[in-house]
Amino acid sequence: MAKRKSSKKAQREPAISASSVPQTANPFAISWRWLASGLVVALLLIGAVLFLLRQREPTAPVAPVDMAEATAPTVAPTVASGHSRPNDAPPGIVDYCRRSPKFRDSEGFSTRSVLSTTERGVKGAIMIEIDANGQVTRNYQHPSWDDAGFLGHMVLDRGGNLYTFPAPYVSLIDNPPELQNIIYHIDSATAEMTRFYTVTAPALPTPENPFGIMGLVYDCDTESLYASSVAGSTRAATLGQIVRIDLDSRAVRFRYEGVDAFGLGIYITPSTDAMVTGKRLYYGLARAPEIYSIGLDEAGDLLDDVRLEITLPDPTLKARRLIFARDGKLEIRSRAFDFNLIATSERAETVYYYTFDPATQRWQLVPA
Amino acid sequence: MSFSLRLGFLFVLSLLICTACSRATPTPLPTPTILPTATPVSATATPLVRTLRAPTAVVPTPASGLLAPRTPVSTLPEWQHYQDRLAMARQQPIPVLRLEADMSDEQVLAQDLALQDARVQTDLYVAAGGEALRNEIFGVYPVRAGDIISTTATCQPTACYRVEMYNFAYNLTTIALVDVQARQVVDVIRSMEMQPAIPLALRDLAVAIAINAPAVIEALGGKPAAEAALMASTKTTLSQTRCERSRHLCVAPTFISGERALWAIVDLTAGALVGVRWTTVGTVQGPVISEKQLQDEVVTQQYCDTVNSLARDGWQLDYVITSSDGLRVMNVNFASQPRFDSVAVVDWHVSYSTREDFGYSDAIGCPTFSQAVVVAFNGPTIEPITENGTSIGFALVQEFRSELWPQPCNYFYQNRYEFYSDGRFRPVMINLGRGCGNDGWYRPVLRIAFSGNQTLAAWTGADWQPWQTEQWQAPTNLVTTDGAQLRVTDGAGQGFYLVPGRGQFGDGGRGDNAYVYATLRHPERNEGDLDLITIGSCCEVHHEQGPEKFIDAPPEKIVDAQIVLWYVAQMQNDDQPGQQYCWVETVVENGLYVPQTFPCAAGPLLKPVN
Repeated sequence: MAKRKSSKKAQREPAISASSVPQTANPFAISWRWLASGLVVALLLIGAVLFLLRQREPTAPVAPVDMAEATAPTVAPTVASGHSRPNDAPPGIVDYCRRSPKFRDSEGFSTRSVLSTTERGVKGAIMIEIDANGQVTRNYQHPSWDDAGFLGHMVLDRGGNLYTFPAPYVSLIDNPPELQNIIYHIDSATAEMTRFYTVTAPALPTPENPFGIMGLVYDCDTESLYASSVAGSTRAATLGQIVRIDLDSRAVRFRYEGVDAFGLGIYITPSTDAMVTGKRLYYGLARAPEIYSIGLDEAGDLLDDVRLEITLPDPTLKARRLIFARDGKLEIRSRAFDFNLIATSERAETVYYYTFDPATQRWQLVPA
Repeated sequence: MSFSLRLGFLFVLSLLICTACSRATPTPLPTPTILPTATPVSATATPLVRTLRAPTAVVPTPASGLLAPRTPVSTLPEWQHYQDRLAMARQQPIPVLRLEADMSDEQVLAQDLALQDARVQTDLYVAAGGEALRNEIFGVYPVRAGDIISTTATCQPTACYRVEMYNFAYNLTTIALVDVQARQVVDVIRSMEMQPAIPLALRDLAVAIAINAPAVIEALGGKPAAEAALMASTKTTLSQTRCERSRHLCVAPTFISGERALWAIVDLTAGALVGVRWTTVGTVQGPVISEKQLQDEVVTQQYCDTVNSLARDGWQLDYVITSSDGLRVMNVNFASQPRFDSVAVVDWHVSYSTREDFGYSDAIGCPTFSQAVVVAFNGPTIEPITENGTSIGFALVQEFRSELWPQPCNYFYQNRYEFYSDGRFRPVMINLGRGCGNDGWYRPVLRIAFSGNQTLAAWTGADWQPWQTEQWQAPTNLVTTDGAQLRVTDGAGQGFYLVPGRGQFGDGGRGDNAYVYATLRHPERNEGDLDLITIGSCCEVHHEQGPEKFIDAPPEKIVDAQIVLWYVAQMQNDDQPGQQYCWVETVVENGLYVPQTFPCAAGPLLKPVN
């Protein structure tokens, strides 16, 4: 049967090729054409496979970090995205493009509404509207907003989408350790919260450390989302990381390893000193009362020029949030944190304000 | 080459390429819902992911410290003299211990003027007409340039004084800027949680407490001279206390010994040594040693990272403070016979009856790098149990506290394991308030893993009925005349009766009303042999406290098997005067606020069969 089918095809072949292939064509030439076609198909297939692999990188597990091999200065820099900093962007800050979520309007909430993840007795996120006296007049919680348990802070992008992450509060019953390294996305239009990205950890969770993602910051210039994670770290081993996620491709483009960071911020330092000027990623350590910065290139990847910027006045506190205001003031929200659930239960914060002193090229504490 | 061959060639080539690709790099799985549960697999990151390694910070392992019992040095003459002076001061119309030594006439005048000021007198009493609090003038100094602001512009350095008063009850510093020429107080500044530099008399007292402390004498190999103590003295700025947990006034006399320095943290509010720690920097310019830092280091090193052993009154056991299951006792033998593989309190469920779904599931455990929300400030203590003056056993006691206890919404729990010399054993779960309201229910989840194979039977009112399979039982009054509800015995008939608490143990307990569960032990699944994360929600009022999750479907047979017994007591707090239970109040004692506790206790007695 198979043989007969082949015969039929063979009989048709001249008719198909009659208009394009001379009858006298060299049979070897036809074979080479087929070989060339095969190679093209093969190359396309290889390309497709590589493309798929690249697209799926976020879900692929990553091996434990080899300290010696992890440093990769020879890897070619990431190609800059199509985004760039507009000329009229306000100086210093990088979240100038963020917009309010569309669901705020569609749900009928006014500009006096806020999204909160720290309302007492509320698991997850909630949108509340406040009157002129500061009283909550109404609230809204999409059914998906408590799916990830208690949440950390949120960041907005240019489309009004929100990004957030799980953050244990008092206990782990709603925030199991194996689900703490996930970034969530709240859609600007539908308000639905879905998993956006799972940051792969270099080690499994242990009873020593129930935490994962610790902070987020968004950069309008490069359409990047930076996330800090301490997942896998133990008292003896600092295995945390800061990753840069390209929001266009939803892929990690840079991984800064071996750092347990808490709050993140980005600021373009005003300076006449070429060594100081430039965009820098600031991060507060989860293990020490210190804030470091590291330079960012045009694509948003990290340069190897880390430096200590600030040591908090109270040695028991860690920088949980780093918020750069349009007036250049840095707000540091700090709290005691010892890799347990105490701090998350008390939610007592000490806020410091710093301003950058161009003369000394240092951040100066603003007296309370 | 025929068409079919060519097509076949293309197909095979494509297949080979696909196969090769799939072998070289496995197709990634869909987005994992959880992190890998096996060992991390090999890297598949594409070259597009650049990596950079952060500089490695080398953190030296801290030298081991020692926590003192923190009992007031009531027999030390210097402390007693100081207490007498404080008591006399509290009887004065202005109840403040004044500064007297080496004072000029102007300084004395400045102090008097300051103490007459109503703003300075704001915090001298509990309330108007109430008990006097402990206040003391720490210093009277000429004003500094930094003190001259708009409100103090009239001050000249030679004419104005800065009078610093410390309130021990509130951990509060009040500073009065006094113009002695104009005889007026020009400004008053109150600084909460701040402490001024201590006067010379308190410095000497701190040194006296330190050099007479057994821990200091032992560490230095003999009692040091008072002159050997170094203490940084800053007269320029306020500082935060070294006792950030207790919010007491603490200082740290330091003793140099060769290339090392011994730090002794002295609590001047309580009159006690907090603890000592060596630093290896060779100078006193090393790390700042504080109460919390010392406590966390000692507890972590000596009780979380280390399994300790104990042999006493016929019992041998190991114990360790866990990440989230409190103090776990393990490998418990009596009379050289294995009795329990492990016993621990895995959760404290706290709910509030008038607020639906409001409450917490508290894990208790190690102070750092743990899953605990209420943590150990110190290691366990061993207390004798006496009856009619005779020792009948001992108790291993571990405390866990919230940082701000006894303030509202903070908690204080105890694990108390009582071992009796006749073979009885009682794990006791204790709460000392305060919680978020007077409508609180506490439900601790106790897990007991017996050694060897056992068979469990429940008293039916007439006889012992074996439990064939995993199950749970609601609170019941079906107990024997001896109070036993369950019997757990091995093949030889040896074992324990479980006697639930019904207020008969003389510890203030009002009855456990406990749910009990028997499950088959599964070490391979970690159903409590290792640390358990929170297993139950805060606010279930029925049997769904967490252990029921370990009852399989269908329930497994537990006859002559390794049995885990779970015991979830229920205690309701009470703040009514005279009936307080699971509660704490704050009272004033000697000018200080001190907690007055009303513990509630629950836990079964395990009484040997035969």
